[in-house]
Amino acid sequence: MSNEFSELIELTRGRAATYSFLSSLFRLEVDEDMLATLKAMPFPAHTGNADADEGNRLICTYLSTCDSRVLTELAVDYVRTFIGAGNDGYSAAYPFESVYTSPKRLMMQDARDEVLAVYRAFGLDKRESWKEGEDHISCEFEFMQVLCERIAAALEEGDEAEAVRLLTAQRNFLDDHLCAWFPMMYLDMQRFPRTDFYRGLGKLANGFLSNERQLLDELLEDDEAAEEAAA
Amino acid sequence: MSDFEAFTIDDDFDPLAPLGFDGEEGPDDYSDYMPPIPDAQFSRVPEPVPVSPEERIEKLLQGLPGQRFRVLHLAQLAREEPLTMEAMVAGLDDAYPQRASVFSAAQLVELLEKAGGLEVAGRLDEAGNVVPVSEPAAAPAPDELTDEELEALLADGDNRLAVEEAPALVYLATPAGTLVHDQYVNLGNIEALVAKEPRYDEVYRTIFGLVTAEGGATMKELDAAVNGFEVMQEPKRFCGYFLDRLEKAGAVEYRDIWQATPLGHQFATTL
Repeated sequence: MSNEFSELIELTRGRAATYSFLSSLFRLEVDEDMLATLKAMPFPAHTGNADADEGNRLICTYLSTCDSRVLTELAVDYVRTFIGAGNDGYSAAYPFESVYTSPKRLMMQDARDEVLAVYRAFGLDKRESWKEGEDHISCEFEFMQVLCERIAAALEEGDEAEAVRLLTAQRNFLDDHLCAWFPMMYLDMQRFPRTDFYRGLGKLANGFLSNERQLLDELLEDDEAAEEAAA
Repeated sequence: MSDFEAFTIDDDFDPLAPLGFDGEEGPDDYSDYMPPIPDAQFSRVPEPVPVSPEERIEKLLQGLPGQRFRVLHLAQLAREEPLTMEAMVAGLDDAYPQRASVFSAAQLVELLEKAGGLEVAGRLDEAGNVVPVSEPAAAPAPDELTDEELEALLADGDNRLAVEEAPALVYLATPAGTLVHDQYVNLGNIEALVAKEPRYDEVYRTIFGLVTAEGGATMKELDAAVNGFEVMQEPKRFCGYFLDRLEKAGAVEYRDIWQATPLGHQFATTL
């Protein structure tokens, strides 16, 4: 295995871990185990993206000042941020792509059908335990995590073509879905939470997606240039 | 890949199988979305009504009748010197051991603080002294963060932020909290209650005689002692009627058995 591949595998595993981390924070309220993990983990201070840096700083500062009531406070803020109390479609940062991409801000719209088709095209089906729509932000992050794991596996086997195919799929998914709607949810995530934890999470996710889009462009640049030259 | 929560690998996946989308409906099936609240656009959110801390504490106590004296005890604990959350919890659990309440001591501290009965007086420094809390509740904006503050968050200078141990805040009872405590935990309340119904003096004396005894008294003993009094027959009264009033006045409390509170003991000596 070449040195370049080893670095790419390590990078991809890191990306998978970040997607997994974000997915779990959007999926459920923070519990004791997650809190312990958050308190023990180091947060990068300078990622090269102002939003991500600010998000890391907000989360870290919040966790450094919270007291024993933190779990209750975060659970309340999770509901306030992602569920809300209104029924007008503008009362929370609803974590569903359909809400942000349908004219009447409804769930289970075209976006859900589209991502479902993408998941199925990659041989994925949802678990029985998953009761939300498939266009939930957590689901979309986890899909990216699955692709990262597959890219790493393909690189370990030396299958560069498969890795390029999967990286392209990731970039397309970012363009068509995550990067197309999450910035709107990110803005709502600056309005509804009362703790800096969820404000920071919104910034972190937004900054990370922006970094991801840039990274995938850079990774695929050489391959696309080679294809153009061959054509 | 066992850590995926939403997905499972579908080995039997058939790309030609129908997808079964929910959205496969004809144009005739389409119905326009109706807002769930008619005239919602005309609704107005009323201006918030200013409520004093005393009123907020009063509302809290009225909303938690079973926890009233536990909440008030917090104001008593933090009246003289500021206490940490751990000390408040330990003090309250010591005075009111709980096995059945859904309200933990920490939750009651939070509720009383929110109502204005307690306030954060500062934080403990490394030497155990109370120093003012300078940091705001919310993290400062990026432009408010100085380089030194950012550096302080950097762990070992390796370009990473680490979560630090939160400072131990100390709480002190506010004047409003102290005032409401004194209104409720007051010998005058018991005196007024007993003086209000002088015909039941003998009943009250008997009850206090039993509940101030070593080990308190059971409901059965109290019933047997007072239900037969002539004065209890018309109108018909039972011991529970008086116990309820005495409990609300802070003279007796139930801890597997009825017993007098310190205030109740104090009043009993005047009978």
